[in-house]
Amino acid sequence: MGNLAYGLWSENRAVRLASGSAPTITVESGALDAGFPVANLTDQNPAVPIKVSTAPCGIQFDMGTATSVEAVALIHHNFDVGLAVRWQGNASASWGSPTLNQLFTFTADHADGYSKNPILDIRGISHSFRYWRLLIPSGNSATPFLGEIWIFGTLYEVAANIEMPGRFGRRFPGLRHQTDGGTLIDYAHGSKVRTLRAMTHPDTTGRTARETLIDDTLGGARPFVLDPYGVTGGDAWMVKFAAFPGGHEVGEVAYDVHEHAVEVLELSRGLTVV
Amino acid sequence: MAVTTFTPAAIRAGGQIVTPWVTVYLPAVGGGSLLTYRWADIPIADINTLGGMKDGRILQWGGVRRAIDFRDGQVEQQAISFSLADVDQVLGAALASTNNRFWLRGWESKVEIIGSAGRTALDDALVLGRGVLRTLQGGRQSWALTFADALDLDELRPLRTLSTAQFADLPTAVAGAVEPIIYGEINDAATTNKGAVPTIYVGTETISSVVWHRFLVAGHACKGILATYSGGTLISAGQYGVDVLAPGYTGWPFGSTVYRDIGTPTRRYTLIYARGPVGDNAANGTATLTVNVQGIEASADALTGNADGSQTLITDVVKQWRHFLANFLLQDWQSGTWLGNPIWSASQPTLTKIESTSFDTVVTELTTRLAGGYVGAGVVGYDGQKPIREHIAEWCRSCDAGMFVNASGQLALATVDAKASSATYTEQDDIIGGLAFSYEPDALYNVVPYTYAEAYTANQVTAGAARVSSGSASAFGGRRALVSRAFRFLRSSTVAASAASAVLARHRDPPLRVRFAVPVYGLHREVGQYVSLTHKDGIGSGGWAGRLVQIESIAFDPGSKLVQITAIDRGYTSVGGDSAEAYSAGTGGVSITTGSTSVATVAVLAGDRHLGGALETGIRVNGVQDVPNAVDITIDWSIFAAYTMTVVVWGFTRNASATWRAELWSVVSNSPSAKVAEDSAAQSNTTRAERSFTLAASTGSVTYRLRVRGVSTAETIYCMGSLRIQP
Repeated sequence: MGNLAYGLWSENRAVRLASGSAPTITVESGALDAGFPVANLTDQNPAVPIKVSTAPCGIQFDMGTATSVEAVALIHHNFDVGLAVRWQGNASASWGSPTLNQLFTFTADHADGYSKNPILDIRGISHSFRYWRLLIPSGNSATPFLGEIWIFGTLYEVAANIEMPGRFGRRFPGLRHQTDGGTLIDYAHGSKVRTLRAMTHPDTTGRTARETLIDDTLGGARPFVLDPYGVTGGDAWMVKFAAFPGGHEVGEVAYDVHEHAVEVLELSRGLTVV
Repeated sequence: MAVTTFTPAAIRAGGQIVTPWVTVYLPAVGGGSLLTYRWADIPIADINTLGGMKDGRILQWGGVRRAIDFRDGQVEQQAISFSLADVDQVLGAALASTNNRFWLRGWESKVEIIGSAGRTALDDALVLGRGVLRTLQGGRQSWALTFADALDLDELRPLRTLSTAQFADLPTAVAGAVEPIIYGEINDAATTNKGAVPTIYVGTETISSVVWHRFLVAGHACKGILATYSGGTLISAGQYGVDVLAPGYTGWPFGSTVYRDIGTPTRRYTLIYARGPVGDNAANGTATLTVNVQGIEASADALTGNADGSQTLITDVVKQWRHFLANFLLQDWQSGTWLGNPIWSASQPTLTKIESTSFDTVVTELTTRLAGGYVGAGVVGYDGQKPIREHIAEWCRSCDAGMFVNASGQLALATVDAKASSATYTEQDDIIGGLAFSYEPDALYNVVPYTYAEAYTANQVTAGAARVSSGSASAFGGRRALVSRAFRFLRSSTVAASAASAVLARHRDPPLRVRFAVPVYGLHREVGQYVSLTHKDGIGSGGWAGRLVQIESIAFDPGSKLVQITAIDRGYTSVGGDSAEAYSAGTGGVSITTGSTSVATVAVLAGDRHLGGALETGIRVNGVQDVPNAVDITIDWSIFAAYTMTVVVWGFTRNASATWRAELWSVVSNSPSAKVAEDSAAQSNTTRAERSFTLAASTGSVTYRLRVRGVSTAETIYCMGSLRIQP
């Protein structure tokens, strides 16, 4: 297991550049279904996806100026294992031979049908370009969809600052009835929420990172992305903070400066998509 | 694809993801385009099926409900309600649009549901309800919406009225009168032989340079004029073409065209013409032209067709109702071919507003009940305009059926006859939360008086021998009579008796309703269907085992995923057993007359009957006067000798120095004849007070009218009253 990796909301270059403005996102090639437009890719709601109607489909991000991207996560998708989805970077909006051209690695879905969400770590190569492109090829076994993209301006990894493994949870909201004769009738609500509770450690680095993250989420109101198993874990979660100890509502945080338990819960991805 | 099915086995296996959603359509008006929104309580990204993305903006479901009422021909409306978040002003923008906001009444909704298995199989969703917007409440953040079926039951659906646009010299006395719509065969040749349907004088027409008086038979083509009468005397064959022109008879100047298309807009009529003494006397009212007639015909489906008199007479009352519903209530036929079954809306172009097959099923069931089915005939419109609700009630009573709105939002019909169970629900596997019961003693009746065969020339009806269950009277403490059931579109004594017997069969035992909940597979049931229940909660030793009940309402709460069903027990053993089905002939009862118009309506055996008057309308009384809008009541004392008749009066005067009293008078030939009872003391109250006095028994049939008398001086009196009839 690698060290827990995460990105800050304010550094998600899919929605917010260093200048504070948003990148210009266009369907550069191929096409999306009008009912599942490109705006769904960055609406911070993985349950509302884009749908590729014509593949290959390139979705271009114009950052305005050369912008550093350290990693990219694809949240909630139906890409086959082995599908050659690429993340490309270039100085110009010309994609014949982009300077950066990396493949995502997809692994099999969870048993409940929800996808594992890869993080593509590109810190080891040159990774500052004005134009970036997500390229979804043809050949997927089902009509491709993608719930959300998270573009890490900075990819953070915490080593000694968090006590792992933490306490993991999986919540499947549902409803149970019991007939008068005792037969159980169980419905699922069609959602899955993963949770993680872990202890952060009190050294200066850890405390500073923790406070930065809390501030960046406005006390839990904004989402962020983490992979509890590290950048090679292959399963990024889009999460928000659950209630903090001592804090009773979103936006209210109280914590012990020396040791602090944090808990996050995953944003619902909605129903598994057919 | 096939509509999805929730099977009990799949639901009990667990883990089904059952997701309802609503599709809301905003119609294209004012240059806009049809807007379609799909909303659920969770985002549903159906990328390949089911209409695509559903926004997860529903905050709370209020439920979806539909019902049927077999008791009095009333239709119950379907109801759909939910609230939704609108923080991004999607709905707000639509309301602000000049293209759509003024057409709130055109907004439509459709609620659908599917399970995860059906979604994977790419099934079509199951429709739970469909309606048009009734209320929209909320603000910038959220809205609460309610929808109901497309029929506005309290709306006055205007039938065509006589106008100078069609008849230039229309007499003013009949201007605005409803044009008659005739169904079935109305024919008195075998009885009085004077013509069963009066014509309406609508002015003159010059035909081949000869001026003829023209008389309206119906506001449509008729299958045939069987006979014509002048003042009750049959028009002879030799008079046709000379004194009278009638379609299908000698001298008819319009060839094989039996109808006349007249005016702008063009309207189709059946007319007959007369001249000479026959025409003059009919025009001046001294010798009315009457006809025996066969009314509306249509193609083999009894719904569409040429509307030119050439096709098949619609004789079954259920099919007549469907035709009237389709062509005159839901649409506004004027001329040309029949309009047929209308589509639900522009957004639902393949869905009809009437579930036609349910009417066919009722036809079959009534044919099983009575050989030949329920043959009907009657005139719509001779008694003026009325709300849709009353049209529905009158037709449903004659069909002995209940009307309801099915899950697809279509108007459908059902009887109590089809007793095959459509599903079995048991305590072990299906029923959640027990059985809850309600008895309705007030719905127990063991005497059913009824009327049929309206006589349009005399403004009268025929009273059938009341159906009585002596077993019920014995078991439940005596006779209790239903308000007289009017079968306005039945003319056969056999059919009317069958319908009355069926009413009695439903009411002679105290109706028992049961409420229970089942899982989502209960959504496949429809109101009017039968299900069998097995549960220890069933009333009686050992509970119920396979008890047959008929569904009256189905309500679904998407939040709890429970299907709440209310049903009426049909599995009981009637008090009289099978022998009680052979009703003994009872007796009719009270006649009610409205105003001074001679209307004889056999009515009730017990209860309070309005005598007229009003507390809002005063009359200045100098001596004695009728109360405003007096309602005359005729008592047949040979039947009611043992009853107590109490006159209950509410009234006051403006002037405390004035005194007045209420009086009951006998009426002869529509005129007050003699005072037969009065309040014991004169009143001078200036605020409303209740008084009562008893009417002494008499002999024979006596008609009574409520009057008020100014005792001391002329003064304005406000008074109304009722006759309380108690066994």
